[in-house]
Amino acid sequence: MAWWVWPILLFFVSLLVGIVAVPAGVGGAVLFVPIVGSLFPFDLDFVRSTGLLIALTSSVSASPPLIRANMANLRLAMPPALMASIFSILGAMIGLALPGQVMQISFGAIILVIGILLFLAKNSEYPNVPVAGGLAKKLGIAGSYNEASTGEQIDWKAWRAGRGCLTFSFIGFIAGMFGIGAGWANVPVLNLLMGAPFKVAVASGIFVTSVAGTSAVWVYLGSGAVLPIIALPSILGMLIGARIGVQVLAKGRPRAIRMVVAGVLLLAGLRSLTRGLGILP
Amino acid sequence: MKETLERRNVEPEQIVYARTLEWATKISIAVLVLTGSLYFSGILPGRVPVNRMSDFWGMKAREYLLTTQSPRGWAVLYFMDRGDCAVTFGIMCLALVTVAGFIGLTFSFFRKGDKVYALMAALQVIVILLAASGLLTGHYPN
Repeated sequence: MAWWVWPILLFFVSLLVGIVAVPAGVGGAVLFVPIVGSLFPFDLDFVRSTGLLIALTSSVSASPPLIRANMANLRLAMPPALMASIFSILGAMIGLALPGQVMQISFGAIILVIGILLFLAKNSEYPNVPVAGGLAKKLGIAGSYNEASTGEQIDWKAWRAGRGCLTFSFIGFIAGMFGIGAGWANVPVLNLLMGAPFKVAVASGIFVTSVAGTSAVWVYLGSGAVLPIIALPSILGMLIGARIGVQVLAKGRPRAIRMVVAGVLLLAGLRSLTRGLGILP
Repeated sequence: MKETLERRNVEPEQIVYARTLEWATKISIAVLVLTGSLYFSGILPGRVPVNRMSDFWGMKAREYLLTTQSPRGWAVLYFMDRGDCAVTFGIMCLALVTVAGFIGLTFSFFRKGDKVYALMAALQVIVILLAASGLLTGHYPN
C-alpha cells in the first residue's frame, strides 16, 4: 500500500474514535491505542505516544468551558492530577525500556481488563457522602454547580482523598506506560470512590487526563518516540471527531455505545495478547 | 444571564486557568496545523523523507533513532527548516499548554493566600518541566 494511504486511514480512524469516545465516556486514547496498535503497521512505541497526544489534545480543548461552568473542580482534580502526573512519567520510562514482546503481552492483558471493567462499570449521579473526609476537608474539596437539566444548584463534598490519590498514582502509571491516558478510570475513582457527582467527576477527570498526559508525553518526546506522520493526522481526526461526539452524546444511547466500546476493547486486547504470545502473527 | 449564573460560584483562579488554557491551546493547534501543512505539502521537507517513513515506522523508537540519526527532544529546534522537526515543535507547544495554565494558577492561589494549593500548582510545574528537561528518558543513544 502507498505510504500516504496510512496517514489518511489514520485520520478517519481517529475521527471515528473521537465520535465514539465522547458518548461512551472513555478517553479516546484507550480505544485508539489498541485499534491502531492492532491494525496499523506502526510500532507500539509510536502508537502509545500518539495515544497520549490525542488524550492531551482532546482534554485541553474540552477543559476550559467545563472549568468556567464549575463542572471541573480544580480543588478536587489537582491532588489526583499531581500524583497521576508523577507516576505517568515512571510508567512511560518503563514502557519505553520494555522489550516489544513483553509490552505486547502486558498491553493485551491490561486492555482486556479495562474492557471487562467497562462492561461491569456503574456510576452514581449524586453519591451519598455522609461526612467530608479528613484530607478532603482539609483541602476544602467541595463545590457547587448549576444543573442545566433542572436549573437546581447542586452542592457537593468529597471524601477519601488519600485513597483517591493513591489510586490515581496507579492509573497514572498505567496511562503513561501504555499511552492510554486516564479517561477510562476517572469516573470510577472520582465518582464512586471519592464521592463527586457524576458530571463533576467526568469534567474534573478531563482535567486530570490533560495533566497526566502532558508529563508522560514529554518522556516520549525526549526519547524520540513521537512521529509527526502518525501524530498529526491522529490529533486532527480526534479533535474533529470529539466535536461530532458531543452532538452524538445529546442524541445517542451512551450505555449501548459503551457496550460496543467494551466489545472492541476485548477483541483488540485478545489480538494483542495472542500476537505477543506468538499464537497469531 | 446564564453565564453570570454559571460563574457565580466559580473561584477566580479557575477562570484564569481556563482562559490561559483556551488561548494556549488555540495557538498550539494553529502552529501544528501550519507546520503540518508545510511538511505534508513538501514545502518543508523532512529530515527523513516523508515517502520513506514507511521503512521506519515499524521499528522501535530506539532503533528508529539509531537508523535515521534523528534528533530527539529539544534538539529538534536546531532543525526547524525540516518539516518533521517543525511539526514536533508544534507538538511541544501543545505539551506546554498545561504548564502555562499552572504557572498562572500558582500566582492566583498565592495571591489568595492558599499556600497548600499554590505549592501543589508550583510542584506540578516542576514535575512537567522535569519531564520536559529530557533527563527522564531511560537509556537512549545520544
